Amino acid sequence: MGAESKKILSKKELAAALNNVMGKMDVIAPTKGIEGETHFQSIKSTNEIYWEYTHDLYPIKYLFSNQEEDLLKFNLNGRLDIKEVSVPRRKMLVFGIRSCDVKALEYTDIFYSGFDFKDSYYFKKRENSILISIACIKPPLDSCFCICTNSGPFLESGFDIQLVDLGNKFLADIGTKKGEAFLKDAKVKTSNATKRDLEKVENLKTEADEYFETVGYFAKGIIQVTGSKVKEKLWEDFGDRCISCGSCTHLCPMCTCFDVYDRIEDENIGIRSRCWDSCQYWGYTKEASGHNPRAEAKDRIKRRCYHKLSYYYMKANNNFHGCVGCGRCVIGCPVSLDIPSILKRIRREGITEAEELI
Amino acid sequence: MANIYLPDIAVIKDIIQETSDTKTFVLEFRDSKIKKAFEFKSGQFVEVSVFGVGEVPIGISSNPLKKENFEITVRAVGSVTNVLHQKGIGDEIGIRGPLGNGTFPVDEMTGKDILIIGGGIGLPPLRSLILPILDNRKKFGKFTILYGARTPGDRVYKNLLKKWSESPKVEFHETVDVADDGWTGNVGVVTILLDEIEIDPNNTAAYTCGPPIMIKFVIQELLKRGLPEDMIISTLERYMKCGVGKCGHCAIGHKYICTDGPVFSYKEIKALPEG
Repeated sequence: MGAESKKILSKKELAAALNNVMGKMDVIAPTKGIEGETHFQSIKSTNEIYWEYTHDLYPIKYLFSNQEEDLLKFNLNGRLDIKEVSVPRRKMLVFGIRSCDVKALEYTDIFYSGFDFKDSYYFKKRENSILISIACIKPPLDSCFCICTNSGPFLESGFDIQLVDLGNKFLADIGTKKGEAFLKDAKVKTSNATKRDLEKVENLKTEADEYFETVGYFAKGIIQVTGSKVKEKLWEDFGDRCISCGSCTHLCPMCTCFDVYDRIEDENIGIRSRCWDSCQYWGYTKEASGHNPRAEAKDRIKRRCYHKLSYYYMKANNNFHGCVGCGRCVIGCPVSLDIPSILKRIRREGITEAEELI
Repeated sequence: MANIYLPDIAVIKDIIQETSDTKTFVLEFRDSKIKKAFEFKSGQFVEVSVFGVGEVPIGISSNPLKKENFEITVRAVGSVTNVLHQKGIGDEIGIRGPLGNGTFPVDEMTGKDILIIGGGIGLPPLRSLILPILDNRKKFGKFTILYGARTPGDRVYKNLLKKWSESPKVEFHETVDVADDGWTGNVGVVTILLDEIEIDPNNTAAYTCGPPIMIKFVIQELLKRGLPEDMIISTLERYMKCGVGKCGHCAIGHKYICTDGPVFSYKEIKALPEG
């Protein structure tokens, strides 16, 4: 969408619109936790919005690929009958979602429709959602590095509406028909963006880029990991340090792995569910025979890095990096085996002599 | 939107006890429309549901040209397979599939010598390849099957093995790792059988399936005999949940065993970074 998709709306007007739609849809927005932290959750009034919000450590993916989700219901006695557990058809508006998380959803949209197999549980929720993001003028946290993964601080796509904070008003960049329809349905008064508004946005963009520290070793890390040119000794070192807690993968907005299990509800009814799983768990690849191809932590870390950083994965996924630089692993990993730290060490000490061959 | 995790219901029509811990289940879909529409290729697998316990991927072991039903051969080794073994004729289970895009290339090998090397419970998926080749025997050159099992008691498809050993259509050799009193055949790992046969490295397609360690040695031996990397075809197995490229468990490098495999050539396997 071109320049005509850039509108100006006052903050007051936007708050009124959000309050207007609250009866019709679930509005998820940043709220302030008891220790001042940010939590995205369902709100009843825009008064609950924490406008100075930073970043929710818990990834937004939980709205679409729930931590636990029932898939099927079946009877255990009599003639076998299997039914799909229906997904609630509730409309959802995610307000204030960060650029990195928007980009992660753009990636998971591709992932969950891959190989001609569409994950209906994910898409039924996704199709009923509207994403209104707010571009990051300053990094919300020191751990942010989206500029290295091409997933912020401002976005070109993925959002339904992207807001840019211009003081007492927002510039709304309307990305989809869904976004356009929302403004219309919520009866939001907008005006066309002036040349001055657009210039201001451009300046903010440039300023924002400068705020974000550029982690120059990202590209180099991708080359090393893709070519399997990282010293085995370094993986071993990472493996010795990793406690296989799975924080990195659970917090990662792009991690999608799940486990599937059956449970018995009562003597007649059984449920098949799924829950988040982690490639960092010892049992993740353990086969019934006892054979476990990734029994050692070093191999599991190698796996995670390969998925996040390999060029082949990028190529297979419309050039999406396996990382959006949200920095959750930086905050969440208890032993500092986050993506930037891993890349830093690969650059400094982890490259084999084969490096010269590139 | 179709639900990719929703199984169809299949009825167990027959059960054949292969070894002390392995059974073949003959399955037929309850819904006649699904039954009629079900087609698969050699090397494809199905997700088998035992409701209340879970779901496991199992290679289809029957002839793809046979239409009325299909078979899976299962060793009781984990929670789902153990409960499956307690099921009887007439019981119902769930089936999703056929799954897998990487299948055994068959038509591409017309005119070539075919060499099949199976180990233990690795023979069932190869059976889905062997049977249609025997049906179209004239399309191929020399046809050799090598089979190794841990003990004589672990040999699956005993009747079929006997038939192959007596058939002029196929050269069949077998061995066991550990013999018992009644065993008069070869003793040793399956690769010793390669010394008993002639291989034309320029005109042979080799297919193998078995435990990972066996596959590793078989590939080494075939390479030594000069077979090109793309003519050595193997299955890869990993712990798998969804079978449709979503749950992540079976990933190796940037490939998924379920959607890119389960059959790969050695050329492809070699290119996998964690292969």
